[in-house]
Amino acid sequence: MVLITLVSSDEQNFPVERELLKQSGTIETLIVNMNLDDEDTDAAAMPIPLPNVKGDVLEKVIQWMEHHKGDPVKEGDNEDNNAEIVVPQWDDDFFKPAMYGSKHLELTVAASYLDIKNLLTLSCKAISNTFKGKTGPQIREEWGVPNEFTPEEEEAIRKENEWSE
Amino acid sequence: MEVDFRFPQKATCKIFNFLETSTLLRMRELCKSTMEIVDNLLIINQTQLEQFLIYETIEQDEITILFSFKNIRHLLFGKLFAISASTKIPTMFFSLTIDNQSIRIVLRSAYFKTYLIQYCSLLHARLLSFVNLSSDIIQTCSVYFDGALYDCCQLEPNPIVSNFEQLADFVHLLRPNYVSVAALPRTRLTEFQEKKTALISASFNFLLELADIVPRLNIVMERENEVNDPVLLKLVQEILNRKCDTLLMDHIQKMDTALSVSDVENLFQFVHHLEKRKTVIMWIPYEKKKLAIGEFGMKRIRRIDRKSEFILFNLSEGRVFA
Repeated sequence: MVLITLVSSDEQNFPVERELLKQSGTIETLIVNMNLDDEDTDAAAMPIPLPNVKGDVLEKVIQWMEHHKGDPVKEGDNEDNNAEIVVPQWDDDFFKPAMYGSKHLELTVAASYLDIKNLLTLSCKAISNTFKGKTGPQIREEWGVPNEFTPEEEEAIRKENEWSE
Repeated sequence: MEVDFRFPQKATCKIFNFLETSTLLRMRELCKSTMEIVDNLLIINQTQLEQFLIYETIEQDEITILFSFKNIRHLLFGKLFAISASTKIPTMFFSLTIDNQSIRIVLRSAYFKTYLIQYCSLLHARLLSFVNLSSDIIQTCSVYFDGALYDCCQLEPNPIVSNFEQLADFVHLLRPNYVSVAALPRTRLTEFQEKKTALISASFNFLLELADIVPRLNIVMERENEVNDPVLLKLVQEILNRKCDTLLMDHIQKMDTALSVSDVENLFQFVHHLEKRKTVIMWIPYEKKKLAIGEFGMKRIRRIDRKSEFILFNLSEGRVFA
């Protein structure tokens, strides 16, 4: 089994099975560019730096990829059919502990950076599910977002939205 | 720890595309960054319009802009931005009407450019329509739409200003695949009796220029009840000699026939000698519906009444177009 080492922004090393990394478009490109698939190349001696992903987030990403090993990888950037996407129970349980906080958002940003299409889609769907049927102030409270608006600005936005609905 | 909703664009679009419209609008109430994201979605996605129509009433110094939206979400975005852009224009020079599919804006010509830049740059339409435009407005549109890609374009030239050359140059910029043009309505020409001959000549030259630019041309004509018209036959033949490979001659009065029986026979003979595959759709007298000459035949498409048929010629290795 070929292992490739990923290095997070905080210098943590993660040896990962080569097969798993096929889910990440970004890492796949790096592997090709660095010739890590060549028999003559010592892949273990050439770690892949990921300066935009912190260790704890990368650990979660790898955990997700391990569970989804062998899943078909989406190609292209076609828009998902929103109505058909359901977050499977395992993924829902996986996202839940970090939901309503920065960690889930960081995981989503990492999925986008690493170009892991399925993770990005499910993570975004899970976030959007938390917004459904709620008002701005309710979402603010749940996600711990500070209120940046003055009462006058809030009123103006509310009126604009009312007028549009 | 504060939560920051400023995501990469790809992630933002995905999250917000999962939301139904009412929730999406509520995201504007969440924080400044989500408000900006929702508002910018219009720019990112380029709100899709069915039609973007610009109509000028020169006598009243007014421009009417009609946006027909594809769906309710785009209409909502359209409303938000229509309001935002209109704040730069004094109320007395601007009016806005909204129904459940479209937004109609009427503004003084002087503010057209401001509005076009501020608001219309965010939109992309399937069909662009220009009606009665003066030279100044065509000039503004030429600058604004230069390089934009539009597949379908609808034109109604203004007979008063007869700026056909400028309009043809404008179409050249747009490079659409399909142009539908209202040829000079003859009944209206009675208002310009002295200029009638010159106007007909200019408008026919305009049609020929269009035939050099676009592969598919639809000419909408308003005719008096005259049947025999050698000028029209000549026009059709000239058009078919140019780049245009599909010509639809349409008529406001569906009961009128465009060409006489002998004209149709002449046209068949003419098409017979063309090397390129051409398609012509037009009305002919009913009694000639079984007409076929040489390798050409015609297929009945739709019967409107017992006098006329909508027919189609085709040069395709001797087969009738199906």
